[in-house]
Amino acid sequence: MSRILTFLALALLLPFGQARAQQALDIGVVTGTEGALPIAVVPMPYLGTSVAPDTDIAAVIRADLNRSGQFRALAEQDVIEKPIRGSEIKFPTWRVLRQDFVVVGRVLDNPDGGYRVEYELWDVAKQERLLGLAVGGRARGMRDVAHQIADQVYEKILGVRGAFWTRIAYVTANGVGGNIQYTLMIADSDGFNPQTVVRSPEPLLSPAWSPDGRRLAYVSFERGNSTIYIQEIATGAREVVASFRGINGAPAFSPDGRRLALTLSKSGNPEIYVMDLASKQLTQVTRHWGIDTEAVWSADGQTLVFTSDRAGKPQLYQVPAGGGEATRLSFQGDSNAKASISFDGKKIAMAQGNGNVYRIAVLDRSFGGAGRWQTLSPGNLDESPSFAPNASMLLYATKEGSRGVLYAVSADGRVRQRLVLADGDVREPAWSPYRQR
Amino acid sequence: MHAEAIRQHGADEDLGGPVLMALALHLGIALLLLVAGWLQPPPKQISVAGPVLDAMLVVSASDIAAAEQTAEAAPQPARRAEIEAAPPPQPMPAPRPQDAPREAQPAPQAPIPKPDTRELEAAARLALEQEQAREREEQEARKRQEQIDLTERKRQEEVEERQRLRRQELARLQAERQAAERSAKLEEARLRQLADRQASPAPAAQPTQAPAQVSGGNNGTDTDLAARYALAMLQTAQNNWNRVLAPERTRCQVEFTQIPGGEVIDVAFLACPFDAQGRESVERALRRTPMPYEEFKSVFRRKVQLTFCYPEEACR
Repeated sequence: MSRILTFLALALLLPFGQARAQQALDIGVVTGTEGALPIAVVPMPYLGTSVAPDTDIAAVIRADLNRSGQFRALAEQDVIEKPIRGSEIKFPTWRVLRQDFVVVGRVLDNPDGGYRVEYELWDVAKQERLLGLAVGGRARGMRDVAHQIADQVYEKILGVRGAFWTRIAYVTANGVGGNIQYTLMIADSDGFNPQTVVRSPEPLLSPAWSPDGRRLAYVSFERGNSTIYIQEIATGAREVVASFRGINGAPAFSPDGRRLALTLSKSGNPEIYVMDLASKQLTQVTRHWGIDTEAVWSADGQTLVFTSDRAGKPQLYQVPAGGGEATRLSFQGDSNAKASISFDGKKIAMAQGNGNVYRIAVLDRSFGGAGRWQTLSPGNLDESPSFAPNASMLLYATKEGSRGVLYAVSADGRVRQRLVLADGDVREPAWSPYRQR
Repeated sequence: MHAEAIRQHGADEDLGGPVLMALALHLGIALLLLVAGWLQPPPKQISVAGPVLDAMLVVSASDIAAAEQTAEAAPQPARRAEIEAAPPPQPMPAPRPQDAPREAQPAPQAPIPKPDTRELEAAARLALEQEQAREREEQEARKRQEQIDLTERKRQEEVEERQRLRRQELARLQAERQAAERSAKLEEARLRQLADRQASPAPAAQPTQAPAQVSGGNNGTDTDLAARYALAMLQTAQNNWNRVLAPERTRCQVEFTQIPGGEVIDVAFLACPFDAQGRESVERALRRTPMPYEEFKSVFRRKVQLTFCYPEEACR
């Protein structure tokens, strides 16, 4: 009996001894590396019975993800296996190719007309399906479908909404001498599908999106003096909101879309005003002998950031939207102008001048203090930065020869790409808010 | 109304006045030119102080004779040829049509017999080219054959290599199985010993249940290998972790479980304030490639803890 008890006692002690022997080994701290996430987007064939769509869906998704700087999509020629369903994926292949994610899919006919893209996003390491969705669209809107899929993939992996299915507004100038034609255009975020909003022989300036993405405010000289218009994009209907004596410029919608910040010189000196769009009532925000212009709203709509030369050279200042004392924000570089604020208010992009070189710089205030500066563009004449609605990318204008062109750069500056746009001198880009799903 | 006034004003004027004024202007200009000539300043004369010196030239008869002699001896200039007047311009002869009658060749000339070296050369060249082409083809064929042989050899080598690897793998598996059998027998023996000891009255004996790989063997060597094993696993995680999705200055402590072969089968987050994306990145880093195993079988650990954090200076 005692032998049995001793045996039982030892058997009970045994796991403790084992546990001690198998205690987890602590191997220290992993600091990791930084880089774009590798993803393979497998070509998505058309399996319907009608005519295949013109758009290469996988190619558009690949280009979108690459442009963001967060992903490194495997080049199409390196995609050696072409599964179209999750069940066909051979994970060892993608492991050998060192891919973290695989997107597979196929294009089918939509019963209501148009096409339907069924796709799946898979995690290679865990061999787990992260997404399995279908997105439908008209034959002409297949690029939109691809942008929406790219947005969904981006959001699933990074936890931030993608901004590929958005639009950009910009002004082009075509012609020479007295025959210059100015056009306010909108296009997809990658520069495709350009459409004319308004055309004028007199200069058009400063396009600004309303928060719902349905209206554009801009400055036109077609009446001789500068005038601020607000135009409905879908209908083309427009109204004059400011046509005072002197300068009427730099409009910016408040985050709630009810107010418009603008620059007026009706008092003799350019100052920042806020207009209530319902009553058209004006509130003067700045009162200074210096030039105050290019106001933009903070994410909470409580403050305005604007450009002023009150210290001798243009710098960025911040002021309460109801008026008050302005405080200087930019203390790096000879001059700083044309602010663009990220959706979370943590980052401010601006055109920074040092001597004759103008580059796009970002002040990151995430960590408090004086903030952290980063230069995103190589120069020499970079201007008009505009954040994407998720702040993952920036759009800016620069000169190539004598011609203005637009570039999209990732927020970390790793990827920079020239947008394919129509001919002519392109300037003053503005990235739209998210589109209504 | 203005135009009528201008016209009326022009008609009333007499032409005599302007003509007289024009004459007067011309006379005035002529007078001015004359007066300008008279008003020229006189040429400047040189004036030097002192009396004027008188001098006389004295020439003797001998000087005159010598001069005459020299003049006679001097060469006489050649008489200038009388310049003839240019001949009067002659009329150009009227162009006449050229007439070059050529007699027709009475009979065609017989071809000059000439050896046709061209054909021979061409034939020789052709033959040479054909020869070269044949040689080239032969060479290419040889190369192709060599390539085929090489490819075949390579393929065979690959096949052999694969077979060799398979044999090795088989041998390894057999060895592992034998080792496992041995260790199982050993364990059985130990258990028997344990049971015997339990049967004996000495209760202080401790069970030596820890795996042979961890507790057995030479301590010094094992410790070194264990350290290298830990480092190898750390480096694997280090290379695989893409920290872009994780927040800075935040420590995420995890414990992973692996199976022999190094494949991670489970990741447990012990203390990790990362969000879902950050945690996914950690899990992906650990599962992306198997942990090192082959060299470290003797020190293999199923459960390993590590901390994900960056930058390094903020995580010490």
